[in-house]
Amino acid sequence: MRPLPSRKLDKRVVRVWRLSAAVNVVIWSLVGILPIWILRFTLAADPTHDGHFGFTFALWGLSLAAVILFALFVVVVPSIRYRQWSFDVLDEEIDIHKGIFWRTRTIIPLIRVQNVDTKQGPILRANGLASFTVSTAAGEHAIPGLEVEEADKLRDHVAVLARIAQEDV
Amino acid sequence: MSDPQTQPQQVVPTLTPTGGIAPGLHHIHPAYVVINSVRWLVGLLIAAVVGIAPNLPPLLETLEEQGFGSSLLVIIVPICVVVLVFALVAFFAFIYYKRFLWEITAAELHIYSGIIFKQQVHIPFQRVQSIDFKAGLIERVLGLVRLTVETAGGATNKGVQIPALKLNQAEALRSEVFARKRAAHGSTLISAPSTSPLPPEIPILGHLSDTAHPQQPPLVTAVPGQAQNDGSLTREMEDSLAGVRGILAEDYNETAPIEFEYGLTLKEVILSAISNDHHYLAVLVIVGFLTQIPQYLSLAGSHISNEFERLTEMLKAQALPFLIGMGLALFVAVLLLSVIKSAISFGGFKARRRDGRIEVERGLLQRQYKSVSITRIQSVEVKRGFLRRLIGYAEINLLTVDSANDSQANNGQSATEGLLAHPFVRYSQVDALLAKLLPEFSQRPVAGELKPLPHIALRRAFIRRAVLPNLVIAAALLAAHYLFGGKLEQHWWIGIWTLFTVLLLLSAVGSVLWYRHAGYAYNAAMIAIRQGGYGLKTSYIPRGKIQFATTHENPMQHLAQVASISVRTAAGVGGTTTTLRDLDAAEAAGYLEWARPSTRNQALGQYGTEPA
Repeated sequence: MRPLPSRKLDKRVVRVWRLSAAVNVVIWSLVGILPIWILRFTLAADPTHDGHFGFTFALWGLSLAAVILFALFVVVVPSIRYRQWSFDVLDEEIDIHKGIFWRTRTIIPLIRVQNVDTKQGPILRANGLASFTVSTAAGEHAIPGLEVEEADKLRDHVAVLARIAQEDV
Repeated sequence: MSDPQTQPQQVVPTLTPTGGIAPGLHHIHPAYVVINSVRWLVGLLIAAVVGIAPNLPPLLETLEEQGFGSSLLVIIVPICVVVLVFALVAFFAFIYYKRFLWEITAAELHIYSGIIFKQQVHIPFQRVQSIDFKAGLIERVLGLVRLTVETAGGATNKGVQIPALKLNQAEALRSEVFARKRAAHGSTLISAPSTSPLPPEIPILGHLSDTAHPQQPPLVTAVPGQAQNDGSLTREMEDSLAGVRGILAEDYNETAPIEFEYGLTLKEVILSAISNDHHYLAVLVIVGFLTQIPQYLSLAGSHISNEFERLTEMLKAQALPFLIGMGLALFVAVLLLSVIKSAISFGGFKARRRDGRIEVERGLLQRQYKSVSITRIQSVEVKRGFLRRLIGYAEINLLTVDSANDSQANNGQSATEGLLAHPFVRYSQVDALLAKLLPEFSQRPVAGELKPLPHIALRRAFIRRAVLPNLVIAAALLAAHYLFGGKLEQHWWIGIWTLFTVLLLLSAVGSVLWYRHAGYAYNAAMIAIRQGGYGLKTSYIPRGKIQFATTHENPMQHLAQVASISVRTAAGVGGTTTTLRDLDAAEAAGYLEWARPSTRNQALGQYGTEPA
């Protein structure tokens, strides 16, 4: 059996994943917790009302959930994902292996590639990285964290290889 | 490009004396205004009836209370509203008609349209993949068609429609576009085996002449064993309807010889309707609908409801015979409806191979003509529903890249509908039919070559298809039983649990059937994947049409050392995935190796070869 693809993503992508996961977890936790928190304290201001044990309980529960999610998606997952991610750009195909629980390995013949792009979001840019995307007539695949020059080099390389691709399908 | 809206006087007669498309801008047929207004009106009326009918009884009641005068009002007001709406719709249709212009230039088809949001579409002829016609009842009486232009492209593929054209115009347009496309490409791209190279001096304007294909005698053949319906009822129906239709008759102006053609007899149409699994699901829907009727009747005034109560009292006395009779009546009704529906949509079915394309036309009331270039076929599916398997029949579906607009226009149909090349063919003759219709797929792996799945796939299928879903259902039922057990009588619960047991058994048998029939095989040219349960579907996907290939494995599969494989093609809108679960992990890896272009076998067939 053929071994896994040899190339790895740039190590800095782990930091990018951590950061974006942290932003996500914090935003969603606030969306869940803030309304209850506000409600609890508006009710606490009302002396005739003393039924806020439920709110306190919910607040603690949600906070705990947020901490667990944070630990999972910010601390644990990115490094495992990095370890699992590997790819190869060969003469005639792109080979991608990824996934933590659900592992997938995909072969994209270069002859099917219609577009190649490099993209940079703010977090990627701050880390000097770019993501590289190939599009086929039936969907696209991204290689998420590469050094900018490497992503550009890859883009130009694949664009040359893909030039013979037939756009009519 | 001059603004067409300011120069409507540029419109000239559409056809030249020689029958070609005249240069310059063209309107669509003015009957579009009438057809479109009527279509809208009918839609609105149906919506109004559906919306108002449930509220009608109380409305009538209040009317009765208020006396005669207001009920007159209730008749006059809706009529006024309908007339007003019709006028409005007709007005907009007229404006749309005025603004809709199309023309053919040296290299492109131009369409200008839109009332508020003006739109200009330019389609280079090289991009045109097929030009299809469709005609509703009114259009057929008037000899008009709706013309759809399908273009090549990926996920953002869009179809373009010209809503009303005389049939001869539409045909002239079609042959003009294809002639110019061929002239631009050279003749080699059309890959029909029998197509001879075109002479260099193709007339750019006017028809592609017969002399373009001098040395091919028409090769009309029938499927062995399938009567070429001489004097069959379908043909007779066709003939008797030809006067009404007046269009889409035999004489297409495509000049290439027909290489292979077949039709459906009336007997086959009826059998295909009776053996369609989906039609029996309709029984459930109808039963659901019928249960609503008593409620509706009770709303409809007290005198009716009294009658109804007496009726139900009477029926309760003999509930069982009533239920059985009702069931039988429903069954017959559904069969009849499905036969009628099938006859309407597949009446006069004809499919042929001509000049590197598959053409299918069908329909008694709404006639449609669809064609696809063979190079555009992404995969071939041979499907057998449960009932059709019992009587040994199958259907053949060609999956193609669909445009987003087109599938919106035919809403209610799934995205990967494809082109139904044969709705009802004897399974033993599928090979013979495909050999003639699509020799490009003759290298496909045959049924005997399909490799079965490892034994562990059976256990996993059993857990996935029978145990887990039924555990969830059982838990829900148990909860319901203990919470609301008292609300229903004992025999109801016995019924429910019996039903559950039947479902459990059916799903268990289904998972065994899935395991026994699931299989795959690939060779230099293509991959075949078969799966199903009570029904079966075999997909044949040419290697050259694979957009990408994937293997997946979840932790449970990893432990069992199996993996799933997926083949992704561009079929449908945005792509189609065909997945087979639980191959042996090493074999799944072998599939991925096969999908790599770099390990390509040099002995590829014509169809498996990538374009150089």
